[in-house]
Amino acid sequence: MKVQGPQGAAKPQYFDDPAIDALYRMVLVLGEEIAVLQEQVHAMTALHAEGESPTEQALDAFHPDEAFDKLRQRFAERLLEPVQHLIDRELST
Amino acid sequence: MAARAQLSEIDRSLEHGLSPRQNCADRGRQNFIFHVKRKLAAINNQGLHTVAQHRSGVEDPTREQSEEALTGSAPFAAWSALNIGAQRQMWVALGDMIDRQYDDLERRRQALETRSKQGSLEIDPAFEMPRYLLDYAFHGQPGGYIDNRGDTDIRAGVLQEAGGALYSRGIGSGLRDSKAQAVLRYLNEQFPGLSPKRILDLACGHGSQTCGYAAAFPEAETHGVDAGEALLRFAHYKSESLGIPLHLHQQDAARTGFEDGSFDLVVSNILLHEVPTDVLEQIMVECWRLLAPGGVVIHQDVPTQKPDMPGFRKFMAMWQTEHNDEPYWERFCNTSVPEALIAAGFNRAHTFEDYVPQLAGPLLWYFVGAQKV
Repeated sequence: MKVQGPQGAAKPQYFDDPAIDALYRMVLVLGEEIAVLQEQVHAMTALHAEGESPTEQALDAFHPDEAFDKLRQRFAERLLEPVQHLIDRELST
Repeated sequence: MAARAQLSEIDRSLEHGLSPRQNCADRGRQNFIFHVKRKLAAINNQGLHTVAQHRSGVEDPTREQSEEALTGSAPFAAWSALNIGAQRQMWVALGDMIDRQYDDLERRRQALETRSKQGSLEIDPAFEMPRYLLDYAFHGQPGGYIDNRGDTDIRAGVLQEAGGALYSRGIGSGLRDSKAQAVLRYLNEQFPGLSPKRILDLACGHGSQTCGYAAAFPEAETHGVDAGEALLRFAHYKSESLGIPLHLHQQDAARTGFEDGSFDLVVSNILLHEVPTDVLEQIMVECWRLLAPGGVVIHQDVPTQKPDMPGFRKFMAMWQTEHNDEPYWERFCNTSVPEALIAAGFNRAHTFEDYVPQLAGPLLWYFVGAQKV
């Protein structure tokens, strides 16, 4: 039997100005798209260094090493560093 | 016939016949979301806790003091916006991955359909969907647990499995463990020699834990019930691809159609905090009815019942209620499951409630249950 399931409830607004909430969403989407580009460039560069053609199939099958995962982690941490700055500012008052 | 998967293989890293395939872009998106979630979890555990202490002026703020201290603070607003944003993006990224290859997943499902079956799938065309499942998309999963687009649909199952794995990794749970493995370790310690002939997994969802129980007790007949048709269909074909016979039924966990005393082991994973209190109580009554004498029921759930849980942790756990589509979380925290078991007929001396650290992760497992004597 076909059932159309529920969608997520509307989320609260976290900032007085709703535009700031929207900006946070935009930054996360942008961060995700940059992560995709980083993933592709890394795979292309590594394949090229091994003398392989960076075809779509080769990019999809590529397994990045742990060193690249550290770069992924560092990117997310840098993106979120301003939250730590907000915490530090709060603690200094 | 597929080689039967072993219990040690059945964890969050398991690949099976209906696993979606990540392309390069999926890998980038999902790892970004994973690392953002990991960092946000660390900010929650350390930074926000310190802010709550600082603003409340109390070393160990109560839940109410934590709420008062954090509400309106810039770091908490930023964390909340990012946390919910990452959760939304997780569902979008996974949904896009699944939709892009849905035709391939359907072909794989059809190929599994043509193979001889070890288990079974029973869909009830007259099934009456519990109201609370129609109303809420738990964890923000688009379509919730019950979305079903047709008689062959498996999308909700693929999405629930992929979302559960990424969410668990994001909060720090390792890949090499599973809820079923944790329950089985606990049962092995508390009920050594337990050898059920018939097992029932209530609200079995995408079937990963059900596969774990069936793999641990290969001589037993393992059943699972769930309300979601597409979840059950996914669980059915997935378990067949793993060579694990499951008997899956579209039934309400609170009112199944099985005979009295027809199971020796009844389990559930992460069910109780997602049902209204009256349904939780009815599930305990059903467990009592379904168990044979000597049988064991065990429920595994979020560890928010722990009496000595710090107030800050309680507040952050309750945040899920309003912000992450967990409408019953708070009521669950205020419900005594052992008392519900006793009210259902179990003997107080044979009920148990325990908290056990994860093998691979920072969280505790909450186990509650009873033996029918």
